[in-house]
Amino acid sequence: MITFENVTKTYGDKRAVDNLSMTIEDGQIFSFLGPNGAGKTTSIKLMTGIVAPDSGTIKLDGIDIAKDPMEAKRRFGFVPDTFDMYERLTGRDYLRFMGDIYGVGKEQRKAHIEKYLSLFSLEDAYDQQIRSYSHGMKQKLAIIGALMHDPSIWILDEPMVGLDPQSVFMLKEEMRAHADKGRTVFFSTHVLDVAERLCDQIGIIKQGQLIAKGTLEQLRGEGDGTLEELFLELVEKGE
Amino acid sequence: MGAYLRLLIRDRLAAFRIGGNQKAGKNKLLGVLKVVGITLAVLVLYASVAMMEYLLFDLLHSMGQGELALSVAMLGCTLVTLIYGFFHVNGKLFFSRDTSFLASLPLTSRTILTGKMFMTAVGEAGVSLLFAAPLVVCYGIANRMGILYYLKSLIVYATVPLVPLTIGMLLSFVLIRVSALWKRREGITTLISFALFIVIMIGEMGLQNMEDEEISKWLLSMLVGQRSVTQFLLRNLPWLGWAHDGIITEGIAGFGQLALYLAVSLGVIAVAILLLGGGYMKLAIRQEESIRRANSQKKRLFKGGDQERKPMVALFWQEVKDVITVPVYATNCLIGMVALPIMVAMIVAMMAKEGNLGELSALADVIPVGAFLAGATGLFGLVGGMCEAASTAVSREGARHEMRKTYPISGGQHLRAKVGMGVFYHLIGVVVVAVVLIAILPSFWMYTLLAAVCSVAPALLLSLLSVIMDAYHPRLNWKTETEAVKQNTNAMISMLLSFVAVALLVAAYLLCLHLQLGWIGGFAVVMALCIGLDALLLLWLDRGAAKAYFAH
Repeated sequence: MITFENVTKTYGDKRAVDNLSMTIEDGQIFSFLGPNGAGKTTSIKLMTGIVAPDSGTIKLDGIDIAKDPMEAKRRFGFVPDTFDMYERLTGRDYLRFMGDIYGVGKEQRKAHIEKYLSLFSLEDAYDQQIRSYSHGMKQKLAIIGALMHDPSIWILDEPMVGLDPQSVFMLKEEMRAHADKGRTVFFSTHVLDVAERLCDQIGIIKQGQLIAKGTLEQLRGEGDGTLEELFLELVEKGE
Repeated sequence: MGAYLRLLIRDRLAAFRIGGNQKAGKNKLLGVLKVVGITLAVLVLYASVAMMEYLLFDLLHSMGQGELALSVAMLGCTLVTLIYGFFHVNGKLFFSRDTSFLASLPLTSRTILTGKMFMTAVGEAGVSLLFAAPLVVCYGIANRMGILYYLKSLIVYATVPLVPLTIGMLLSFVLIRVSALWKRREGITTLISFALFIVIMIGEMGLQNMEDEEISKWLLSMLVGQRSVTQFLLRNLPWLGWAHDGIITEGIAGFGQLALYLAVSLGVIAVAILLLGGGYMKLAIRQEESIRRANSQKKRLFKGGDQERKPMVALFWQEVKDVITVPVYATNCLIGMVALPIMVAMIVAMMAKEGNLGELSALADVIPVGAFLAGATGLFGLVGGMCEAASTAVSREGARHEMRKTYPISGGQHLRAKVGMGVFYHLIGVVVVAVVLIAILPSFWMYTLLAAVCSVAPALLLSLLSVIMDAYHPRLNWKTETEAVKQNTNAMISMLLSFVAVALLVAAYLLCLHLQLGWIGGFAVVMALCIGLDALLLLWLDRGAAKAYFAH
């Protein structure tokens, strides 16, 4: 479960996240939508402990990330929007590192790596340097690393970018399976179609403020428009 | 901690893998040849350093001051680490791309700082050991020292960089703490880095002055039979004095001194990490986020500087800005160029302080104009040769290279903008030296200005050579700015090429003098030679190099 309580983050004059409060329950896939610069990535940075909020609290499985960052960070796996570090390492080196960091046992690690390398067709690239990977391959490697310790919360920032259709399908399947195990999946995206078909809950953020949250049906209300129409209507309101 | 350290060690070791992994056949062979070539070049350079150290030891040994070689090696390692270690530490701690990723992992801030400092210390230890090895071995052979001497030397010289690295780390924290408060973070970082560099240079030159006095004292005390070779170290840098005594003293006393030295060296860095480690990641993230803070300020949509420019002008200014807006580029590319004018200015300032400026000014009466012109032009040319901005200009494009190739701009124009940038920075350095020269020899102001103008020809030559070489073999596949400039062999090769070019021009000038062409005649011939070479290289730039630029 993820809980935001009156979270605010300011950069200079701009409120990147403005008094954000929301709860994402276990067993749900939550999609975070918003126009560019709305505060999606900042919210993710706040919940992953990359930056600290100016005010408010964020709890992951009930653990305040500001008070007990190490324990909170063990609860989630994070897939950043771009993966461009440790390029000289091989995929094997990177996954070994992630396994070590999260204290994943040998057997669990082996089973996990075998399963996902096969799923994402990365077996041949496993012993190659990451710099030789395409963007999609790097994204897949980041996903395998993030799920290594079977986290209760899976956070993804723009995960579909650069993935081929087959990989997008597999990723969606994995997200569904993760949520079905009673765990939480939180991801930001611009692909409204994916959000519409996949998510249990949708949140829309604009200028740092949560302007809508709920199931697709709740957001639609009495209407029957698509998520795209709904999104445009909500975002453009008041502009 | 273990996992993170292992990752960093693997990452460092992976740098030595030849030619990536998918490359095969010709590419693999080229990779191997490149590594062999670079290794040979490094070995030749190292052999020349070792030879110089041998000559130094020979001199000291003949004076009965062989022990001084060990102190000199320690001082050298300390100063080199202090100057270059700071920039290395600053880049590693606050300009790495993995900061956000590491912040999301269950790793403590102190663990991350320890890991990064450990890897930096390992790198600096390697440099220190290589630097000290010839002097240590010479001393060991001359005095028939046992294996224990070599073991103790290994420990000492591997750990000598710890104290200066700690100082570098503290300075880096202060620098980032201060600069993160301003919007123009990059500019402030660059300026403060240069200010620190100047302070270090002033300190170094002051130390050199002091050393002269100290050497006199040492010689005096040697004459009256007192043993005071390490007194200077003991008094000013006591831990190095303990290390020195620890190496050469046998028995328990030697081990005691060594233990004291190690306790201080390891203790200093441990305490610094303990005190600063907790807040390190917060500061690193704050530094990374400062761009966002700066960008969040409301700005005018159009500014005065937004007027239309010709593509070539736009490219040129982009190249110029590229160097000064990225601290890693500015400090690495311009430091050599900045150092020479500062050194000249400081030497003159010192001479003025000692009242010797009059003697220098009196030179105006005896120096032939042609000799002054040639000398001043050579000095100005050297300022350009010290600038590494041109030799990495194509490499610095990195991932942007693909994008730049899509512009409706010819390869020649791209490269000419880079050459222009190299000459631009050269001229900035020249202005400083020219002002100093005019202050010393006011009656030669016209010739100084003429030499400054003439220096554009050799500067253009050096810039052209650098850019052409980088256009043929750029290092585009980098992820950190440090890789693009500091770990780029083009910078080193280009500097060697520049020295060769300058040496050839000087040789041509001397030949002209030998042929009785006179000062002015010789200068005119060399200038004509320079301009001719510039024209040839410009043709090469527009044809072969421009084609190569688009081939990557």
